[in-house]
Order: sequence, then C-alpha cells, then structure tokens
Amino acid sequence: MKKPIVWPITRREIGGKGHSSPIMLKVSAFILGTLFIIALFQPFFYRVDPAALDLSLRLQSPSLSGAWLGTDALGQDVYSRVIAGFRWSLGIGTIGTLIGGLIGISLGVSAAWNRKRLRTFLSRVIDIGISFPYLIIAVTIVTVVGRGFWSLALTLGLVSWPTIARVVYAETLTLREREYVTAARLFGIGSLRSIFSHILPALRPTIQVVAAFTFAELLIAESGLSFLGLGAPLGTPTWGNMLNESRTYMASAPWMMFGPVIAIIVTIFAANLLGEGLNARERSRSGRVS
Amino acid sequence: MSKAVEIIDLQVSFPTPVGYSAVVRGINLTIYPGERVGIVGESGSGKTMLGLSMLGIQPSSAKVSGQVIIGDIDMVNAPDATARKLRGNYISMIFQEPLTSLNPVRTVASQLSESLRRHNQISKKDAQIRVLEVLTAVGVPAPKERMNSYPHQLSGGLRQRVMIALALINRPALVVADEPTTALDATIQAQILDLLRSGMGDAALMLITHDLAVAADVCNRIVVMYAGNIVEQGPVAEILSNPRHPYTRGLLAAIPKFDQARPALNPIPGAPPTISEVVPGCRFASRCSYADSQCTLSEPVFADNIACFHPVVGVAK
Amino acid sequence: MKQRLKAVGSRLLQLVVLLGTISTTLFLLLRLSGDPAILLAGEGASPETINAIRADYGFDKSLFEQYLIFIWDVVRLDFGRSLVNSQPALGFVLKYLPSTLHLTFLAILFNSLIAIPAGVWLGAKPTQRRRRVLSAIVSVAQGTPAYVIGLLLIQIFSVWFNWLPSIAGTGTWSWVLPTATLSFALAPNLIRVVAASIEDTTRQDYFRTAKANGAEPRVLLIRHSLPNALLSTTSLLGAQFAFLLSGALITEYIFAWPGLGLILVQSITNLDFPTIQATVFVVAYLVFFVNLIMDQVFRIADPRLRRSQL
Repeated sequence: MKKPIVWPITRREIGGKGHSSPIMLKVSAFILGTLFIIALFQPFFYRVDPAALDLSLRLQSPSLSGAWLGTDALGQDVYSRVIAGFRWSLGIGTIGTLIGGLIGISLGVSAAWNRKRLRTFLSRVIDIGISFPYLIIAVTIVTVVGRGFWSLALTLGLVSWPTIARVVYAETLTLREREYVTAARLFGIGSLRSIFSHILPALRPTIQVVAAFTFAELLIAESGLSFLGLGAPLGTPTWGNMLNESRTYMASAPWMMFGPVIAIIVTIFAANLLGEGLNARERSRSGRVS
Repeated sequence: MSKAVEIIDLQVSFPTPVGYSAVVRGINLTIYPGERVGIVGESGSGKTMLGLSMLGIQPSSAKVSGQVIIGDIDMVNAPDATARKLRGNYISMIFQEPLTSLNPVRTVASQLSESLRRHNQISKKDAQIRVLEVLTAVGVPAPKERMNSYPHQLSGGLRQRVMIALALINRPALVVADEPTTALDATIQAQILDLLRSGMGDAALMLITHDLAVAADVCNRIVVMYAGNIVEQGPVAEILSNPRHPYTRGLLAAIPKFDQARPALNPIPGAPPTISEVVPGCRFASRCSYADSQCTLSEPVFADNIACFHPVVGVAK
Repeated sequence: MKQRLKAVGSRLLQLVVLLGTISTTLFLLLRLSGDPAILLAGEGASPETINAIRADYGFDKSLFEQYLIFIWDVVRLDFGRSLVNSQPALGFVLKYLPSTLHLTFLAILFNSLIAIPAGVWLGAKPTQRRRRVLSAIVSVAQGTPAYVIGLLLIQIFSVWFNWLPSIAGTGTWSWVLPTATLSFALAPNLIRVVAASIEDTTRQDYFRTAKANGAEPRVLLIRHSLPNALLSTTSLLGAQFAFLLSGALITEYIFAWPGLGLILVQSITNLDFPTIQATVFVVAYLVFFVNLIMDQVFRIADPRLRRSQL
C-alpha cells in the first residue's frame, strides 16, 4: 500500500554534482541486480525442487542440515519456494510497470501537450484515476478477468498508470515552456517530432524515478492480491500465496512466514532505495538557481 | 554607549572545493548612535553576509571570526542564547523581500507583538498599544484595522513598512537594512527611503545597497565595499564630490545621467573575483585604470579611510 | 458568490462523472465475465432453470437495454439484492460502512500521533546521528506492506505473547492490532512528508526574519515551522485517504474486521455481483466526499485562500 508522491518540479540547469547519494544508487542497484539474477537463473538456487511434495517432511522447523527455512504444510521446502517466487513477483512487477508506464506516459504527455479542452478533460481523468483506491479496482478486475500471470500483470498496469500519468503531465507542462521547445516549434518542427526528440529524452530521469517507485508499489500490490487469495493461482509459489498459507500455521510453524516476509521487505526496500537514489541524483543535478 | 556597534576584523568564510574562502575579509567599522551609514557594493562584495553575520544569522555552513561588539556583548563569540537576547532588541534587520519575509499564516499584529513581548516584560494590553504606536510611526494608514491583516493582504509598500515597524518596535541601537527598496516600485521606493531617512528615531541605520544613489539619498556616511574589503569610506558629500578610490569613481561614473539627451552608460569593465579565486595584490587591480605593478604585488592596507596605493585626487566630473 | 456556485457545480459534475464511469466499467466487466445466468444458477443446473433465471434478471435483453436498465437502477440507488442473502444490496453494504469509518478514523488518529512528532523531530535537525537512524528505520518500514505488518504484529502479540486478540470483536482490545497495523503502514510516509515540510520551512525567508528577531529554537519550531509545515501536509493527508482505504481492505481481511473491505473480498469470492457493485459504489462516494471535505478544511486553514476582507 503506497502513497501518491507529490513531485518537485526540477529544473535541469546543469549544475555541479552536489551531495547526491551515489551510495544509495549503487547499493540498490546491487541488490536489485542480484535479485533479478536469482529470478532469471532460479533453478541454480534451489535447494530442492520447490514443487516437490513430501508429506513425511511436513512442517519441519529450519535447520542447517535440512531445510534452511523449514518446510510447509505440504512438505515443500520454504527456501526453494521463496526463490521460486522471485520470478513471478519481479516479472509481474516489471511488466506491470511497463504497461502502466506506456499508458501513463502517453496520457500524461497528451494531456500536457494539447489545447485547453482536451487538456482539462484528460487531466480530470488522471485525477479521478489517482483518487481511487487502487486495491479496489485491482480486486474487482481480477475477479472478472481471472487469475494468471498475464491478467495480473495487465491489472497492475491498469492500476498504476494514473500516478505515472500525473507526474509525466506535470513535468511535460514545465518542459513545454522551455525555450528550446518553443524555438523548435517556431522552426516548424511538427508536434509529434518535437515530442519524440525533445520531450521524451528530457523526461527520462523523471520517468526513471517514477518507474522505480511504481515497481515497488506493484510488488506490494501483487503480493497483497495473492495474499487475499485473488492473485496467483493456489499453489503457485509466490510470496503472497505463501503468506496466506502461513496464516493457519502461525502458532505451530511460524517459520513459514519468515522466508516470504524477508524476501518481500528486501525487494521492496531495494526498489524504493533505487527510486530515491535516482531522485536524489536528479535533485542534485538540477541546482536551485540562487 | 558612545558607539552603536563596533566591528573588529570580521571575517566570514564558506567552504569551497578548494578549502574555506572568505567573502568578508577583515572588516573594521564603527557606527555611532544616530548615524546613517550606507554600505555600497556590487553583488559578491560581501555586504549581505556582513549584515547577516552582524546579527549572527549567517548560513550554518559559514565560518565567522572577529568581533561584532554591541554594548558589551560580542555577537560573534557570545553563546547563541546571549546573542538571541540582542537580536530584534538591540540590533535588528530589514530584509529585501517583505512578502516572503513575513510569516504568511500569522497576522501582522501577532508577529509584531511576538518580538515585543519576547524582549520586554509587557502586558498584552500594553503590547497592543505599542504595536499601534509603531505602525503609526512608520506610516501605516488605518493601523487598527491593518494590524489584524495577513501579509498577503497588504501592498508591497505596506509590507515593507511593517517590516520596518518590526525592526523598530524594540527601539534598537542599530537597524541593518539589506536592499530594502530593491523589490519595490519607484514611487513606493521614495516613500520607504524617506522613512529610513527620518523615521529611525534614536537608532543608527546601516543601509546595505548596490545603488550608490539610494545610499546618497538616505545616509550621512558612505562605506564602499569591493570583493570582501572596505575600499573607501567617508561623509556622503565628500564621497560624492571627491571620490578617491578608483572603484568609487567608477561607481559614480556608472550612474546614468538623465540630464543629458542621450545618457552614455559607463560601466566598469570586467567583473569581481569569484569567492575561491586567489588574487595577489589589490582585488580591484584587474579592472583599475590606475593600476601598476605595485598593485598586483601586495594588497593595500585600509588607512586614512581608503585602501589604495594610488588614490585619485581631484574633483569627480 | 457566483464563483462558489460554479465551483460546487463543477464538483458535483465530477462526482457524477466518477460514479458514472465506475458503474459503467463495473457493468461491462461483470457482463463480460461470462454468462451471468449460468453463474447464478450454479453447477449442473438444468437449461430450464438457467433460462428462467435469465428471464428473471433480464439477461435475455440486449446488452444496451440491460445497460440502460442498469443505469436507471443505479440512479435510483437500486443495486438489486445480494445473491448470498437476498437482502437489498445497498442497505446490506451500508451496514458495514461505520466499521470501516471507525477503523479508518482510529488509524488516522494514531498515525498522526506517532508520525507528526516523529516527523517534526526528524525535520528539525536532519543531520544529527540519532535522527539519521530514524531516517533509516523509516526507509525500511516504508517498504513493508500493511499485511506483512499485520501478520508480524499478530505473530508477536497474539501468538507469542498472547497479549492482544487477533480477531475483531473478541475482547475490548481487539481494535488495537488492526489500528496499529494501519498506522504503522501509513506512518513512514507521513513522517517523511512532515520532516521534509519542516525542513523546507527552515529555508524560508520568514524563518530567517523570526531568527533575526531573536526567536529561540523551540519557538521557531512550534510557532513558525509547524503551522506552515502542517498546512502543506494536510493537503497530502487528503490525498492519502484513497490509499488508506486500500490498506484498510487488507487489514479488515486479516483481522476479520466487519467493514467494507471484508465485504468486498467476500462478495468477490462469492461472485455476488450486486454486492460488489454496491460496495464499489459506496467506496467511490466515500473517497469523493472525503476529498471534498479535505478541500474545504484546507481552504479554511490557509489564510491565503480565504476571501480577503480588505
């Protein structure tokens, strides 16, 4: 569950490096990079096959020689399932962000670029989109559209576009008034072309930041949906599902919770950190003109 | 006290990529009660930092050394708790932008009485009276209604009057005004300058400005600053008629003269050194038409009201 | 005066558009999810039953006709009857509204109580070591979703220590954990915003003026920084409400708190369309209403937005 971020409109005067936090960027990039590698090369990290049921081994507590994070109610290895969850979560997060980004950027830029009527209308649409609780929409859509990787990704994309659109809208408005854009238009360069060659590149840093934060949001949303039983199909090893399953065994097998919890917290933290690192770098690059 | 404030070897430095560099490089200045002193200099001369550090409200990254003595307290070296008792009380400041310098969510009266009651044991009722008094003194019309307005409801000139009232309400020994009229319209400017000239009461005034004409209008002594140093000072009549330092002459010559049909503009060529630039010798030498090799070897010392190896003698044109 | 009416009118129009969009989207989604008659009839129903249901509910009419009927019903606030318990859907759902409001209100209260002082403390001197630690904690906490917090709290306080009940309605302290969950979920963001606002005020000119008049650090903080900072924070709080509801949904589910969130999840699991529609409708209305109120509050609080008398 995340917040709508109100962005400072940055001015991109080329200034000195300032007190940016390259550390934040590096650490988060490192963590995320590792996580993505795990997601891509999952099988190497398994201890045992995550889908392997062995009822004789069910509900074993963690041990160094056996299951590192214990086993669950079906005898499956918690650790391996956590690893297996990476692909699903990171995958949905990425694709959802891409979808949301595409819609959001298109709407945001069109809203900012067009003349009054269309602009007011589109910005109203964006406002309405933002002010609605995302989970309600997501939950409703998922009911209807059904579960599964792609429908979930689509849903999440549909839920995330308003925030992206709002940010892009605000930033494009500012950029539009920049002299070089006006100059380009005076030269008769068509709208579409100036959008692609001027505006989009200038939007890149802002988009990067909002993409990072959106990614984090979607991770939360996805696992939330799974937790509610509305996300990944039952039995799929995703962190949300695992947390859902662990509820019944809270007293008897608390370790079922820890694996997914740590995975969730670390991943989201890294994504947030990435967003903040990018943001800080942006802020320091654009100075304040004193 | 025979002196309102005495500044001894005041230095203010900022961290730069190459170490600490001074924007105020050893200022010595004394101001007497009732005097109106104009500190004239261009951007980067250090005049604003001088004002801020006299009150002790310079940016936290700045390093200050030297002494600023008011009464028997040294504002630079005294603990902040002590200095606070003098701020707004014995020494006060007027800033350039009255709209942003007043708290937008509090009324004029509340801001005035906050300062008043902080430094004086005074009842609420008496505070109200004093607030009205000072608002009237600075020329705010209908003060009884105005005092309960918010800053954004007042015009620019009125806001500046409120700032002046805030500065005067505790009857300070010295008022520091940093470019008080720069953000105002020309007509309002004249009114505010009038106020600064004759409305200070017993307080001494230190008017910081880049505009020599403004200083000449209001003050009885002029101090010219360049690149962190005082280069010349003197009574206003003398400075205007007989400027000795080449920079001062340049400033005077640069004032557009509107009695000519097509006034020629005579700027001083070049620009002042940047904060971290190390300049051997006189810091004005590179722009000075009177400079010679001596000027680039060692810095002239401030003596006899001037810091120059080649003071110009003779009346300015 | 005319301007005010215009503003109110435009707001109402927004509301109508909002509700209209949501209703239409819902309608389309639900109709497209498969033949509703079959779903209603259940597994293994005979074709006659299905056709009967179809006629009954009007599913045999054209989509457009169905849509018109639907809109007409919505306007009259008739959402049909719940498929689960045959009560009028809207009335049924509305019974759960107070609980959600209750939880939300408590969460906002405790969130503010924790987050605002923390944010002020953090923003006043952001570079001190102690405060950096808090900053780091906030960073990590921000990434923790509400349900994780909820589960952890249950694990610690209900299972291990057995101090607090984990299901709503059992015991007088059953509100504690749900409220704590929501508050902790929202707090990091609020702390951040408050800290940033406070820090921002220290860079303002009026702050410098107050300093120049000898204000002590505490006075500076409380009388000059805080009011201005809170002002800008309030606008964010309003916008946060929508996200508060999302979090409340999950929290209600975890703790079986009888509110809108729980109803939504249940009705979705049961495919109880009328209830789903009614719930979404109520939520939309609620969000809109709250935003409206927050706008007014903001307008009153900031003297710059009030009508000037002079």
